[in-house]
Order: sequence, then structure tokens, then C-alpha cells
Amino acid sequence: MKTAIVALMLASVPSFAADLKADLNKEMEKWVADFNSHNPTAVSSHYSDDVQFIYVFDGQEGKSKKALEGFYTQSFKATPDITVKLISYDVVQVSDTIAFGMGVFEDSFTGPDGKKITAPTHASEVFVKKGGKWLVRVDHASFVPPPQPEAKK
Amino acid sequence: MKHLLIAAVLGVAGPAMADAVSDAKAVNEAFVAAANIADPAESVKAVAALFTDDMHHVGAFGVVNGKAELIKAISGPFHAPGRHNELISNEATVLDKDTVLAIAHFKNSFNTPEGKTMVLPLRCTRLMKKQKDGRYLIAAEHTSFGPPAPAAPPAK
Repeated sequence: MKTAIVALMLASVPSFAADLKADLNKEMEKWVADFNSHNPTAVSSHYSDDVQFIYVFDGQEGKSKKALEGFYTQSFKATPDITVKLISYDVVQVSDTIAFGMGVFEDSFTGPDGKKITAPTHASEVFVKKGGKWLVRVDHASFVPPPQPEAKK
Repeated sequence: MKHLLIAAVLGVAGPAMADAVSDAKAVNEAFVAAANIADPAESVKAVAALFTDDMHHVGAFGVVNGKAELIKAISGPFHAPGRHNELISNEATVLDKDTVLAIAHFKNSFNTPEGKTMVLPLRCTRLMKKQKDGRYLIAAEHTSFGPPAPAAPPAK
């Protein structure tokens, strides 16, 4: 009986991780839909009250949901045609209530010179589970860097 | 009685949380010291020692999974002449009994092949996990360079 319980527990570990990955992928797809609808309140519903964010450009950082909503309000105003596309998303479970998500996104918008820009970005999310819901505690986004030089032999 | 129990728990948890915060901050300080070791191979080794074997990195070096990949990813850049790393800000928050969230800013500089000094301000999010020996190591991080925002279009 004990062996059966241990086997059952071991078998449930990969399933739990797979469920978490599926849940957080679904969460990020909802985030993308809310972002693309340019609704700062809907976007901020994915975050914890004490969220901290670091976005692609220098100085685009802040703390609190209010600051986050302010950032998105301004951002949607400055780039009214901005859209994001989720390319891939991976999830690492850190504990029962903490997870780290790593995604590749594609941002499309019209630049200051009127040219259409499509930029691949990396994003990571520190998720915390509160009241049964996964919320983003830290959101960090950056441009995908160029390839790094090889090490000298 | 209930209040006494809560006070007792807080009395124990308080210092433990403070320790976790200072331990996590110390990891970022150790990172800077390691990144500033002059010998590139020793520097890479010392930096890698601050990460868990199954670490994850996203950002400056693309996506890196595992310490072996990390060593491969940083070995080239760590050969840059004039390499210097400085810790600008360092804050940490306990997320659970074994996990600390650290957010730090670094100023990373090196010399270009043309002999100019390139300064890269870096922003860093780190999840640090308590190990069996009580040490905190970096389990996941996002370290990135934030370029200056483009100028806004002129007002019409």
C-alpha cells in the first residue's frame, strides 16, 4: 500500500508540472488578448497588488498596480497600434506557490518615424499563487539580444 | 494564548526573514566580486558557483538552461578586456520559506576592440532558492540591458 502511494505521488509530479505549464500558458494567452485590446485595467488584473515591472527601455520600471496601469495607459496612447504575439512560453516550478515563466514575444508597432517595427522580446514573469490564482509579482521584458561571441580557445 | 503563539511565531520568523534578505543581497554582492575577478576562467567559475545546477537565465545571454550552458554562454563575454561590474541597487523580498526574490541594477563596463569603454546598465530579476546547506543560490534570473527609449514624435 505504502509503495502504491509513493508510486502515485511520483507519477503525479510530472503531471502537476505539465498542468502548471498549461495553466500559465493559458494565463499568458489571456494576457496577450487583454494587451491587444488595449485595456490597462484588464491587463493589470493579471498582476499582484505589489507588482514590480521592468520593461524594455531604460527607465521603464515601477512598483504597484497603479503604476503598472499608468504605464500601460501611456504606452497604448503613445503606440496606438501596438500588438504582441506569444511565440513560446516555458514554465519552471519553483515551489507550490511560486513559478518562473520565460517567454518569447513579438511586438509590432509603428515607430516615431512612421515605419512599422516588429521586435522579438524576451519576457519573464515571477508568478505567485494567491487565493488559488496565479498572479504576476514581477514582470521583466527585454529585447532579444544579438548572438554572443564565442569564447577564446 | 493565541496572541502569544503568534508573537512567538513572528519572533522566530522575523529574524529568519531578515537573514534570508541579507543572504540574498550577499549573493548579488558575491556576484559582483566574482564578475570582477581578473582571470576570465576563474571569474566564470566563481560566477557559476552562485547558480543552481538546473538554473535558468533569460535576457542578456538569450535563454540559458543549466549551469553547463551558463558557463558556455558567459565564457566569451568574460574575456572582454577592461571588464568591470558594479552593483547600483540591491533589494530582496522573501516570497516563501525557501525562496527570495531579488531585484538589482548593475553597471557593467568593458573595452571595445576600438579601445573605447562601453558601459551597459543592467537590470536584474533573480529568484534565489535556499539549498540544503542553508546557502541561497540563483535558480532563475532575467538580466537585461534597457536601451534608451526612442524620441517621441514631434507634437503636431
